[in-house]
Amino acid sequence: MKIKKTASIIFIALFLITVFGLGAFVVLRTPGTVSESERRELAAKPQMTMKSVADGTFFTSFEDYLLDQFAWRDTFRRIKAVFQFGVLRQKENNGISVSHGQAFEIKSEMEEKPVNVYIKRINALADTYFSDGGYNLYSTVIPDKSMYLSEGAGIPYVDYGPIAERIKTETSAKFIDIYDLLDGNSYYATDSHWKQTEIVDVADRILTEMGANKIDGIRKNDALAPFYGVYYGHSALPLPSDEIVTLTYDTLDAVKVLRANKKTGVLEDARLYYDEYITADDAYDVFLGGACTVIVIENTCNPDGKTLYLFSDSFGRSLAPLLVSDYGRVVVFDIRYIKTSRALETVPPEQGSDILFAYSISAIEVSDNLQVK
Amino acid sequence: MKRIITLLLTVAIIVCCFAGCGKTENDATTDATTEATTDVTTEATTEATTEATTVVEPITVAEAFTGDMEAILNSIVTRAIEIDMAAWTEEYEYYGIGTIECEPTPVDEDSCTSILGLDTDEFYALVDSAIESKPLGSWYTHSVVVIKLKDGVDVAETAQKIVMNTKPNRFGCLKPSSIVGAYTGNYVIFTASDESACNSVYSAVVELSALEAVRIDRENTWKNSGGLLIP
Repeated sequence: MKIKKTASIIFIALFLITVFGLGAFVVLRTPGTVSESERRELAAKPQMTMKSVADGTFFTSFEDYLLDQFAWRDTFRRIKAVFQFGVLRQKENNGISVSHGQAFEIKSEMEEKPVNVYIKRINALADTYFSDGGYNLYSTVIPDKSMYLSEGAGIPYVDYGPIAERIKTETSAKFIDIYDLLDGNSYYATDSHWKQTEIVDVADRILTEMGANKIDGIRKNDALAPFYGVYYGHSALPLPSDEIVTLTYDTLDAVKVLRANKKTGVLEDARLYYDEYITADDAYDVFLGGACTVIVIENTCNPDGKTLYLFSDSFGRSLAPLLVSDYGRVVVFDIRYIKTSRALETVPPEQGSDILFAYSISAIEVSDNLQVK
Repeated sequence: MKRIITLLLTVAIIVCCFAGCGKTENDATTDATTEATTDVTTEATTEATTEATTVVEPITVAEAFTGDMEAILNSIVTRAIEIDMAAWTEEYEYYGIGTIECEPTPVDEDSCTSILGLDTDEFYALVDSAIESKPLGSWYTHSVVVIKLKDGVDVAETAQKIVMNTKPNRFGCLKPSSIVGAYTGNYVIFTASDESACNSVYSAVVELSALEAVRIDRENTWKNSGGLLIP
């Protein structure tokens, strides 16, 4: 009888702790500010005022706060994800699927509009800035990893072939197809980006198509680890970490790198690789220091060589070092963050230069943010 | 004693149920806006289809702002910067919307889908004009958008749609940490930026608008897509 009573007390205590204790824990503990796994700021405790209570905004904000600050939140997210994949045998969690150990975002067929806008913008760039002066225009499309991983994975398969075909036929730039040089393993298992070590063939083909020499004597730098990509936190699955391996060759050993300052836009000394960023929120910033409007890689071994202007996104930051080859310099423009006219004021175009447009599917999806003017 | 506890718990559960099912919209404002705009639509449509001979008196809707779109945007941004800088409490040098050079750019049919979350047909049907202020040459994820809706449009509903559907990934790999909107009169203003900037712009709108402004907060789900504890 006594044992039964004790068991009942324990049961009631557990029930009360579960219902009230976890909630009280959230209120009493020091709140976190950032969710590292999700790469976002957590909701802060809202200020209680008469107005916010009266109009209900306090309670809405407080609910967000409780959800974000809940005890062992990441653990609960992980349990849910594992249960969803392992027990319910579902194919996705938070829009992320896993195939052959590779996490990838489940994509739907891209609408026509972003592709139309992309083509319009590339043609406008070509017509506005590079129609006269003997420029050589090239373009390529960097496919999303889902194209290589979704087929046969029990989720919708998206083929980006037609998009490449349209860009090839509807823009004036010479198209360089790289789809066949990539596969699922060309990308980090936990991230959307490609591995620099797996795109040497891509760089070689681009260089060959542009009439430049291939790179040789490539060496691997020490691996940087652990690298938890964007899909690691999104999927909430206990995926093994990646490592970032950067590449170098004799020419790169002597390059001079300049990056535009975020506030002033002035070019400042920089480096090809920022190893210390492996612990940053986005460790892919290892390549050329992360997002930037204008980056210049000067080839001190060949200062009189031609200039390559690379219009690209984050994928371009790992590709650019592999394109230096026998160019005098490679200039990387990210016109999602700067108007083209302003970028070209920073580094004026040299007649006869090569121009390469290399955008990923993710960038083409929001191509209206490419600032042509 | 047991009965009293049971009764209290039952009452508590019923109260919680009511609280959980409660409506959170600002009914008064929504109704007022809807009423005014619905009347305009109905009358306009009737006039066009039945060729009524009677003259319909236009309904005068008070303007939240005066001046052209660029002037309105500039005044909001200027005031927001003042508020943002005044609220700066960090020990290090101020770094926020006041330090980034921005430039106004009209929202057009190419950019309406990613900025406003509207397709081209909706853009032409709902929006009179729209303009965005964004960094001129920086990867600071910041955007302030002012939208003037056409007469007859349900402002509350459209504002909600725009704030909830603007694409956080339009900045590329970098994404804003907050998206906060407001509607006032037939204007919708929203900011995608850091939390401080979003709040400063909202405060500026409240100060500068001649009409009441209703705030819309968008939950940050674009970096996690929802987990166990996120609805």
